[in-house]
Parts: sequence; C-alpha cells; structure tokens
Amino acid sequence: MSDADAAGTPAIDIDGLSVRYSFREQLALADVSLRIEAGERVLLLGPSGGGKSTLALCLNGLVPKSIAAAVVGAVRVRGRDVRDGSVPELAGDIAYVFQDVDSQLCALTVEDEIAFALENRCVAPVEIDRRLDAALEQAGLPVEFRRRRTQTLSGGEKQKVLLAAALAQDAAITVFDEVTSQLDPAATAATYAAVARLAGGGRERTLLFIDHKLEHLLPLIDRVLLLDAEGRLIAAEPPTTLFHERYALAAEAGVWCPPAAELFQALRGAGVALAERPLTLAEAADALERAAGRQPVWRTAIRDGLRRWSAVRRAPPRTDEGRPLLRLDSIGFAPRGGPAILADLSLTLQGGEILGLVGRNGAGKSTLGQIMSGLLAPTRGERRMLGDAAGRPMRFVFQNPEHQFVGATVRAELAASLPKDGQEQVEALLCEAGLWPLRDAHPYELSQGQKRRLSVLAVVAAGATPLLVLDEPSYGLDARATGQLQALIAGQRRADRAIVVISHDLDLVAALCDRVAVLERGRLVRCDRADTVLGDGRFLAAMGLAMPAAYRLQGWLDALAA
Amino acid sequence: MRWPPEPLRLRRVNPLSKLAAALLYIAAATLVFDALFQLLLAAAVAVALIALERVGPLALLKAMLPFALVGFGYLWANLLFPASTAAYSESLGAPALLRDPAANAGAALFLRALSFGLISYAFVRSTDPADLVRALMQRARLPAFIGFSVFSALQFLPYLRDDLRQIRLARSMRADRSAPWRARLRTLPGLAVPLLASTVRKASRAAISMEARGLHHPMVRTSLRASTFARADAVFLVCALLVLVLVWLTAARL
Amino acid sequence: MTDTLHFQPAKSERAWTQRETVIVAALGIVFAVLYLAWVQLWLLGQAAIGPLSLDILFGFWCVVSVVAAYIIRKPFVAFGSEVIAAIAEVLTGNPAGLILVLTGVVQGAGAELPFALTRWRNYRLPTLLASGASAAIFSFVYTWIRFSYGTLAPGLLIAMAVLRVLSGMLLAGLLGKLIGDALYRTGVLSGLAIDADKRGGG
Repeated sequence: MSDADAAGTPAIDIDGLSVRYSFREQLALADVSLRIEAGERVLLLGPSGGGKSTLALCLNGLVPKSIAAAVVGAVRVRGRDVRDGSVPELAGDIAYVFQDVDSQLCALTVEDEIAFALENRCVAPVEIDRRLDAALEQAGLPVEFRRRRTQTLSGGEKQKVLLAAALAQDAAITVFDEVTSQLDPAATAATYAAVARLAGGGRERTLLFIDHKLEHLLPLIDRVLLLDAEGRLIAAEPPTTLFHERYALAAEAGVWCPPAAELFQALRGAGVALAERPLTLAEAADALERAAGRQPVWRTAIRDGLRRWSAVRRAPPRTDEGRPLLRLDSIGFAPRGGPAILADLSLTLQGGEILGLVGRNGAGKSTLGQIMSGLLAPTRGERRMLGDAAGRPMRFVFQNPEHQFVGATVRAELAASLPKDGQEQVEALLCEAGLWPLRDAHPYELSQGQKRRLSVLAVVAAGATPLLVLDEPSYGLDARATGQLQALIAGQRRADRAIVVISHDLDLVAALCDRVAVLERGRLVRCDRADTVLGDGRFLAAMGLAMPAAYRLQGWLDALAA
Repeated sequence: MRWPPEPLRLRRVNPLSKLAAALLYIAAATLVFDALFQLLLAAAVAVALIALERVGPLALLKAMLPFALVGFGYLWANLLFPASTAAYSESLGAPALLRDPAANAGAALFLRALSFGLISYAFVRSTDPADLVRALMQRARLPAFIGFSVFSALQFLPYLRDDLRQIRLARSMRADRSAPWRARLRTLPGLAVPLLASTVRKASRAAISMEARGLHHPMVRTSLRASTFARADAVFLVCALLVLVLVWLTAARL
Repeated sequence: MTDTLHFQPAKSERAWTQRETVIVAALGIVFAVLYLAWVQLWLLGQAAIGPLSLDILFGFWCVVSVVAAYIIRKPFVAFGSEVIAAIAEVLTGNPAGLILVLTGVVQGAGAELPFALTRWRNYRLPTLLASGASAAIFSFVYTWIRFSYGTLAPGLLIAMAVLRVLSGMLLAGLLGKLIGDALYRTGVLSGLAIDADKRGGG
C-alpha cells in the first residue's frame, strides 16, 4: 500500500465519468463527478439498473479492462489514475464484498478463502496466518471456523467469511455491494452488526456502501450519493439533508427512503413541521415524544399523521369471512431419504384473503407454497380442495422468474399461458404491463422488475384460479417496482380466490396481507390476523424476523390515542 | 462432508504420490490380461481400503456396484459374442483360471472393471479435494487461475441441484398434462437452458470477484498451506510397488 | 447487473480470460450433474444389453466439449471442459472419479482435434459433428485397450463403433449446437466469441 494518504489526497476522485457498455444505447453513468475523502463512509443509492455497481467496478479498473465499455473521464484512486495500472495492481487498494455469496467463494475451507487475496499479493504465510485470526474476529466468527468447509456454512456465515476475507486485505477502500440482499433478516442484522463494529473502529478505511436497507446503515453514513435512472449524480449530501430537506428528489428517483423520513414528510404535509430530522424509527419516536411534550396541541395532528402514514402500509383488516377453499390436514413433507422439511401442518385458506407466509431461510416456506398449489404432494397428511375450488388448477409464481419461462420471446411466453382461443389478449396484456416494447426480446434479457412482472402476468393470464401463490415476489426490486408489484397483487383479489405471498419483506406483507402464517423449522408456529402477528415484537424477534416499519411506531400511536 | 483430520496413513501421503501409484496400477490392470492377476490386484486394493482407510466392507460393496454392472456387461458380451478363434493372449503365460476361453476372458474383464473401480475409489476416498488441487497448483504447474476456477465452480453445485428441481417443478406446472409423452420428451432440452444460463451468469460474477482480489495469469503467489513430500510418500510408493510386483509374481506362477 | 455485460476479449486472441475459464469449469460441473442422470440409464442398459448401451448413449458424455467450444471458440476449450467435468467428479467424491478423468482426457482430446485442425476458426455444424465423431473414435480406441475388445466378435465391434460414432455426431455435435444456440438466444453469452461471430454475421 503506497503512502498516498498525504493530507488532502482524496481516496476517490472522479471527474466527468461516463460509461456506456458495449451494444447498449443507454449510458450506465452520465458525467459523474465526485470526491470521497479518506476515511469517509459513503452510501450510493439509485434505482435498480446498474449505475451503482458500475461505479464500484470502475474503481479498480475492471470497467473497462475486463468488462467492455466505453469510458470517458478520469477516475483517480488514492491519487493514482486507474488507467495507469493493471487490475491486479489496483486490487491492492480496494476490497469488495458482493451480493451473490456462492459466486464469490473460491476455496473449500474458510481459511483458504480468507487467505486467497493475500496469497495473490504474495504476502508471507506467517503474516497471512496472523491476519486470518484478526479478520475472523472482526467479522464476528469464532477462530474454530478456520478449518470449516465453506459448503457446510449457512448463507449468513458465508457472507461473514467473505467479509473477513475483505477485511484481511487491509485495503484502503472497502466496497459493500448489496451484501445482505440474499440473506434472511436475522443474518442481515448480524452482518450489519459486524459492519457497524468495523465502521466504529476508527477512520483508516474508506467505506463505500451500495444498499437499500437503510435502517441499519444510515447511522454510519457520512454522505449519500444519489444516482438517477439515467446514471447522473443528482445529489451528494449528508443523509439528514437528503432525506429531509431534499426528500422529493429521493422519492422521485424511485429509491427506498427511510420510513422515518417518509413519516416526517407526511407530517410536514399535514402541517406539523418538526425541526428534528430523524433517520431511524427509534430517532423518530424520540423526536415525536419531545415534540408532543413541547407542543401538546400538536398531539392530534401528529396522531392523525401517524395514523395516515401507517394505514397506507397496513392492509385493512377484513370484515367478511370468505368460503374455505383449501384445507391442509397435518401435512408433512420429507423428500426421499431426507429429513422432514414440514411436519404436522394444518391450515385452511379462505376465498378473498391474502395470506402472508413468513419465516427464516430454510423454514420450509417455498415447499409449503408448492404443496398448497398442488405442485408437490405431501408425504403425510391430506390436502383437500373444497367447494368450487376442487379440480381447478392452482398457480405458483416461482422465486426465480426464469425457471418458469418457456417462451423464446416475451410475446411467446405470454402466448404459452393463454388458451388457443385467447391469443388476442396477448397484445392488450403486454401493453397494460408496459412490456409491449420488449415483446420480441428474450425473457432473460429483461430487468429484474420486468421479469417479475412477466412471470406474474403469465401465471395470472392463464385463467381464473382459486389459489395464487407468489414466492418472494419483491426480491431484487427497487421501491418503484415494488409499489407496482404490490398494486398488481392487490388487484388480483377475488371473493373466490385466495392469494398467498411468501416473503422476507415484512413491509410488503404488512401492506398486503390480512393474515400471516409463521413457519419455523417446518412447523406452523402461528397463523393469525396480520396486525396481531406483526405487532408482536417479542415473537417476531424470536422468529428472527424484523418488525415492519408501520408497526414499529404502534406503541407510540396507542400512547397518543390515549 | 467433513474430512476428519485423523492420522490415517493414506491421508498423509501427498495426493500426487497417490495419483502416481493409482495410474501405475491402472496401467498394470489394463495391460495384463489374466483373470487371477486382476483378482489379486483387486483384492490387494480392497484390503488396503478396509485396513488403512477404514472403509466398511458393506460400503465398499455398495460403491463397487456400478463397476460390477459394467464388468457384467463385458462378461456376457464375451459369452455371447466371442471372437471366432480362441486367440486370447494370456499375457502372463500362466494357465487360465477357467477352462472355457470365452468365460475366462469374460471373467478377466469383469475383474478388471472391478480393479479399475477399486483403484479409482481408493484414490478419491483417500484424497482431500483441496489438497489435490493445491498439490497440482504448487507441484504440477497447474495455473492458479484454472485451479481456483474449479474451486469456484464447485460452489455452484448445491444450487444446481436445487435449481434443477425448481425448474422441473415449474415446467410441470406449465406442461400440458394431456400431451403425449413424446411431446413432453421434446421439452427436456428446454430444462438445460435456464440451468446453463444462470450458470454462465454466476461464472461471470465469480470471475469478477476473483479478479478483484488480484487473480491473474501468469502470476507468482504464496500459499498458506504448502503441499509437501515427506517420508510417508517414499514409504507409500515403495509399498505400492512391492505389492504390485508380488501380485504379478503370484499370478504368473500359478 | 453484470449478468448481461459484454466482457473484454483477452490480449491474445487465444488466451482464456478469467470469465471464460470459470465458464468452462462451470459448464463442466453442470454437465457432470446432468451426466449422473444419464449414467443411471447407461448402467441399466449395460446390464441389459451389454457394451452396446455405452455406444448408443455415448454422445451425451461429450456434449459439454462441443457446447463449450461452440460458445467460447478458443484453443483447448473442448479438451479443458471435458477434463474439468471429470475432475469435478473426483472433487465431489464420485468413486469412479479417477477413471472418469482418464476417459475425459481421451474424449476431450478427440473432441478438440477437429477444432484444432480448422485452427479454431470454424464452428459450423460439420465441424461440430466431426468433433463428436472424433471423440467417439478416440474413445473407441481407448476402451478397446482398456477392455480388450480383441476378445469380442468383429461383428459386434463394428456395430459398437458405428453406433458410437453416430451417437457422438448426434448427441454431442448436433445437440451441442442446439443447446449453444438456445443459450445464445437468452442473451447471457454477450461478450464471448460466439457473440462476436454472430453479430459479425458468422
């Protein structure tokens, strides 16, 4: 590591950077200029579509040296122009942690994984050994993990190993690119705890985060860089400034905003202009407490504002009982020669309801969803369709939309779902979903959000169905796309249909579902009205789930109502 | 699957030494056409596996089943379609084990298939995958960018199986159950495409991650664990050679 | 995001980039998994109709070489993918691993030959069919030595050879092209040699 930390040399200095990938018309980045000082903690936000990761990959020269792109402008890392070095040389200054855990692991044991980058830099084995133990500790893993095989670890543990691998590199800059996207809430919290410890430990490292789970990160962040859909840098502010004074900008860009900021924005709209600028819900609760104390006359306004804010995020409780459509009686599922995935599960689905199915990774949610829709047969117990539902096909929307695509073009994909005499609907449906311009593209070429829309559309277009199950429908979607998806699902509600949403995203579940079923290790631990389950903080914590924002301030709402 | 660090003798031997011995045995089994030789060779390897690697006899039989099936195929091919002239070269010059030349040839091939299986199993079973690739990179000039690519691709395995299951389920959902089995057979190649597409994507991401950590070619790199040759290797190779010679002599004399 | 990007070709047209190397390894792994299902079929056949079952099903075992060579179009890709698929078997603990590596080396060399003879510039169907046939021939010679085919009747041997070559041509050569083309249409192969050739009209 060179001694370019002379006072004043920024860690990253980008001047007029524009990037256009080969065979694409749109710019990934458009004339971006920014400076990141040594030791700063920066969060890069933007709608899903690639500008953020592109920026990260420009820092070590992978764009354009390994990834073909036309690049204009200068990128200087620690005073050195990126064009002047090879990727291996530049790699010494920057460490990365990416989101897909399994495509980053390149060794069979934990210690080999952590040692990999150091071996590539010809660090002496004795030194590697020393750094290994330190890195494990920093990442929150016990030293005994050294000899473990990476294939035996859970998703969260694997990500911690990769975190340790990045830390061991002792690089001046560390980039975290959506590191918890694929983890469940419990593993996410653990990973961010390790990151927080790292951030709190001193300012030698510059940290760059690309993420949207703001609740955990914002307290650590010095500045937020906001990119828009065209790849332009439209804001570079401290988070409090961006999410309060310039809230409209962030909302317009389609990125996730902290619920606390949304709340305060809503309150401002209702005429309650508070001076505080909270970023987390805890801060918001404190701020509201103080405000209500200062100006008791505001209590009503605050209460109404809160109520309106949370009402949008909570599905209204259903008043009518629908007809039962599907009954599961003590079902169990064990694949041949394997341990039971589900055991002794009983559940009834009613017409007109949207049921949320939640639980840790590996609890058996997808399996249950597939059994409900008849794709899998339970190995024990009975699944019975009742009344009109009997004999009609049920639909399942897969977690990975590509798994269910059978067509070679978007148009063919939809046509395959419709009966022979319903082909005229293809055009109308595609236009409605905004996919008409892409009708001749291969389904795999669509963006995540578009693929998701197409997969839901294909399933829904196949005809009226008494049961629709969606497996992690909001995975990988940004704020705008999630909103559209939510509307799409809500619009599918029918009196003679039950919808099941399997999701890690409890905010989505809170906004859509009337009832929530919680799975833990293959057993149905609880199945109750959404507000009862989602409002029970202790229970959710025990299940490794994160309480949705709309319920976090519930205690507050009750106190105000008093 | 944990590779326990038990002090079994075969584990301490460098994978490359074991590879050399295994290749030697396979060459011997291939070049020698003699039922007794194959029998003794197979027996020797089996004994080594049971005694040194602590493989249970039942587990061994189970692992050898596919090889036995292969051998059985050659056995009855020889019984049904023997070459017209009885010109089986008894390469050891020793009398045949069975009177009928076709049956003897069939038996020799059956036992050869088993020998191959046992030798291969012995190698795979007693070799830690990480040690093998490490030995190849450090001692046999396998370039690092290839070795780590293999490690990297291995990580995709659990997801492949899972993916394949999900794809099959998804296709069964979209499939027209009333279609004849012939039409459904035609959709089989379609299963491969989503799997391959996601594999190519993962591979691209893996390459980026490794390059970002400094992997390139050609390169000089250090290694946390060194792959060494020790006295155990010499002992092993000498013993392996002795056993082979012993088996050969025994088969030739009888 | 990186999933549909175009990657830089290597400095020398012949050298494998890191991405191509991992793709070759990964294709090997995927087909190693798919082969396992195929092997069940073969073993049943072997017990039922003897060595002929190997010859009929043979081609599928070489399809990874053709697919890999067809999409990457660089020297030793056909050979490398076949060998790596076999090494993957060893690393996952398949008892037949070592045998598969030897077979992979031989079949891979056979598959590579037609591409080498055309200087790695021709990836049209006839070359692919030749690759499958060549792999079959190499394999036939190799198994002749391994299992002393000299003990079998010439009629059977001819049948085996013909079946194996046909199987190689169809199940490796033709099927490989079909898979490669289907994969190309998904758009994930942008940046590989197949993409450059197809866009250039090749």
